[in-house]
Amino acid sequence: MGNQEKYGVLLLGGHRTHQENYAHLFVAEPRCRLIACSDERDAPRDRVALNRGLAEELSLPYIPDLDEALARDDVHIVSLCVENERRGRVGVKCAEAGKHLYLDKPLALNSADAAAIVHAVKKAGVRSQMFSNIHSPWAQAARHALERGDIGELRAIHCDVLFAKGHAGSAPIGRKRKEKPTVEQYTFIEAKREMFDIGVYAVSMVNWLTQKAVKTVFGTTANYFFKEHLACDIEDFGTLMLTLEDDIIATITGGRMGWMSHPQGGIQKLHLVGTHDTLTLDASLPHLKVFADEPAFQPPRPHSLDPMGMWRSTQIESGLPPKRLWISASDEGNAQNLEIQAFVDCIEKGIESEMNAEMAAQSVAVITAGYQSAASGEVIQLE
Amino acid sequence: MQSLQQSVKSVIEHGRIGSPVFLRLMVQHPSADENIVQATAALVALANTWMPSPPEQIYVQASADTIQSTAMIQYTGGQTANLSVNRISPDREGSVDLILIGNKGVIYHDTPLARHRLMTGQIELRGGDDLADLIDKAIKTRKPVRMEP
Repeated sequence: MGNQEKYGVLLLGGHRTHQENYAHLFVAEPRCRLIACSDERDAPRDRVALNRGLAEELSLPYIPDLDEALARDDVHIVSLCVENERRGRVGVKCAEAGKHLYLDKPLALNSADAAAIVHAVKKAGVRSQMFSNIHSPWAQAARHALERGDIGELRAIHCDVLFAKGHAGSAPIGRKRKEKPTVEQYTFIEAKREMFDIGVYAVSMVNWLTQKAVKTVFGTTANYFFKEHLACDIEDFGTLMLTLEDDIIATITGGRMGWMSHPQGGIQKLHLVGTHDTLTLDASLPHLKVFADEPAFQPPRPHSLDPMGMWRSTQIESGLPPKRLWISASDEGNAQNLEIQAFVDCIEKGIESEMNAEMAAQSVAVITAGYQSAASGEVIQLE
Repeated sequence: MQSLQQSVKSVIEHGRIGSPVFLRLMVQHPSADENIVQATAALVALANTWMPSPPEQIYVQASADTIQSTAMIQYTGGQTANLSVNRISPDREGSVDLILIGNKGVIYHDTPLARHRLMTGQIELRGGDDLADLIDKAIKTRKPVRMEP
């Protein structure tokens, strides 16, 4: 790459995927330029329509044949947001084509698909990075504290990530969920597997901060909040207890708990317990609390295609108002730009991302073991 | 802790958060007592007063040096609780960090962190004596242990 050239980015995944966000982050990165949207030739028709919708929004061409798109010399990066069920196959294809991979989370549906992506990335010698929170100010503060030894030796780490979206209170209470040991389907119109989808943030944080392998997984999943998840027979909440190398204990929660459950977007909280001290980090801090003579937040009517409020496009369509009780006083808004900058830095320097495919695959292994534990009631040993 | 227990119970009883489904409770406990089992048992007993169903199973992991203990409780109605006791030096102030999620709302409690804050009292972890043997067994076996109703 010459100094004047930019990295061309191919977008896979359109409206109603996180590509709605990632595309704009790549636009904001001066070393990148968007080339086109694309997908597999036989991608589902509804997905192709959503892809074309995003392409139109971004004034980009749509290339209906992924092979043709990957053959282009002006494509250096693929931002991969196809459905989880196709990520293994498509990720491998893109890596084999010699493209650097920016990966939506979670990395893949299962450990086999994750391993295939890891192998393809290594063999091709391309860079990879999965979206995560590790570049957030609070995550960086946690890492620096651990590196400095502020809390002594780490004994336990607890991370909760719970999104305040969706209209809660429709799931029947007092019933235990009967989990299945394997994840057969992840993608639904009205819901997602939330321990997978949101728990991946917490598990990735634990993996990244500790750099320790997970040895055992014990956990449970639940339907606490939404009839939509129950109808799809998927969980809206999950919690895991892990034992790591060096006898470090970790717990995580991942889930979605409703629009009215938090003054901002939800809980993102981290506790570090050490031999000398403990540390709590909260993504919502610092913030202003604003009390004014103005209407309180009211959630929007559920969008027929996105009752959980997962996507920016459907949030706009449903008229989601901003929450104004807490106003962030941190630089969190810039964290996602730092995420893309870090990825491009890795490409330029030829170094591995701190959340590369290999690291991301660990979270797939942990979470899928979590489903096995929830289904069996047993503590699952990881290899 | 008694006032915290009662204030949380009051919110629950008024139905403001719906039915409790998940509790995250983290206590930094100033203590020289290396017997972390009793402190854990006290937290379990406290959690049980807030949950609408009896406990069914408990899984506990404690550090060998008793710096911390973490318990995951599963209740018969599908509710869960993650409880952690972290021992800190007796000359330091303790803190309580709580998230109690109901199916229709959430209660948050943080002990405020400020040099000039006033604690309303010491954090005393009492109760749960009948649970101590069970928790000790859970720690030693490193397996989930059934809890009698």
